[in-house]
Amino acid sequence: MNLIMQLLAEMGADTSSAITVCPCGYVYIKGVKGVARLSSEGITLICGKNQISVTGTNLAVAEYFQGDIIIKGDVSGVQIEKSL
Amino acid sequence: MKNLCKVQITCSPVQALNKLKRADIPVYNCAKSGAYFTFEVADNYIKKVFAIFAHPCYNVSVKQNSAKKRAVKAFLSRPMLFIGAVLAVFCAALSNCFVLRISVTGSGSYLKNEVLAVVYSLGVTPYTFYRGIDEPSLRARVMALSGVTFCSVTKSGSVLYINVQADAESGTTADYASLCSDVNGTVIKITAVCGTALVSAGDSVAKGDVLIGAYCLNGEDKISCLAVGYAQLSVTASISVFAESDTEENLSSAYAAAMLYAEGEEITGKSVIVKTVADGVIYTVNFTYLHTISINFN
Repeated sequence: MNLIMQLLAEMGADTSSAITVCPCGYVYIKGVKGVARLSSEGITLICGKNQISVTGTNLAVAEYFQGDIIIKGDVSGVQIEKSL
Repeated sequence: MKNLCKVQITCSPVQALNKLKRADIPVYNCAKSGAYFTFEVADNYIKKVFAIFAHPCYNVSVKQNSAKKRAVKAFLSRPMLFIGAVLAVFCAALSNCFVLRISVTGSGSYLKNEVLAVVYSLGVTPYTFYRGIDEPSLRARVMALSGVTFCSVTKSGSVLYINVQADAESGTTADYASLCSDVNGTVIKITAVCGTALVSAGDSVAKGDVLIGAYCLNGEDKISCLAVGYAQLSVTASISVFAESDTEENLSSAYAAAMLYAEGEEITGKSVIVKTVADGVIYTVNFTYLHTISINFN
């Protein structure tokens, strides 16, 4: 985690924000309560009352620990949906 | 560095990840491959993971052990290989403590025997334990050898290298001059290995005449080169020796004087004229001898 966090910081990512998307193919999301869907084309995460969907290709979870998740792959979009 | 162990499980990724999250287990490189979900966890969480997915329906298994575990397993399964490697390293280290060969390098390597004698006298010989060498003393004694300008000692592995550099001027060097006659005479034989012979057998030459030019002819062009060869000249000379009386002994002395004049070279003909004077006799020895001169030719 430390190395990736350092890479993210060096690439200009604000690691204190809830969602950080890096052009190199990493998405860093904080406060994840659970995973609703996981496939190589899309990953849906539950963050409180919101659902965050990360779409792309060759997606995989690089690291998941204590509510912080790093998704790697060719990310094409991040969508936030309010849960009812 | 984390010792990550790859785990394979028959379970939905969502369920597995949520279970691992609840147990506060950090997971890495999660991916779904067919019916399996694979992820990596640190070695120390393996037991916990197996406890979480204890039910047979999960079919949990370790796909790949961590690098540390693999190294330990490899060591335990091939102990002799590792012991052999350790022994080899130990032997290599031990051989470094010995001198197995002494090598004299550099332009002064022709002084190898003299340098080795100095080294041996300082207590370092091949196939002995190396406790170091008195370098200042070695350098001083090697530098005292004829023509040596530099000396250094280095030990690499079990070989002691002694670099000796000798002054280039003290060694045999090539002379780029032409071969010139140092006497008046007649050329008997001339051999030019390299360069151009400017006279031929039977020619009369004077002192200072060029016999072999330090060049080669290419058509009309002269190309400078090293003159290598020799010439044999027939030289006629005459000496007069005074003696008190005309005896065999005095005549022999006169011939000996002629030999001395010819510097030991072969005398091909000689004649003597005895002239009586008031106090004794004068031997005039006329003689012909072969004189050989060479350039860059041993």
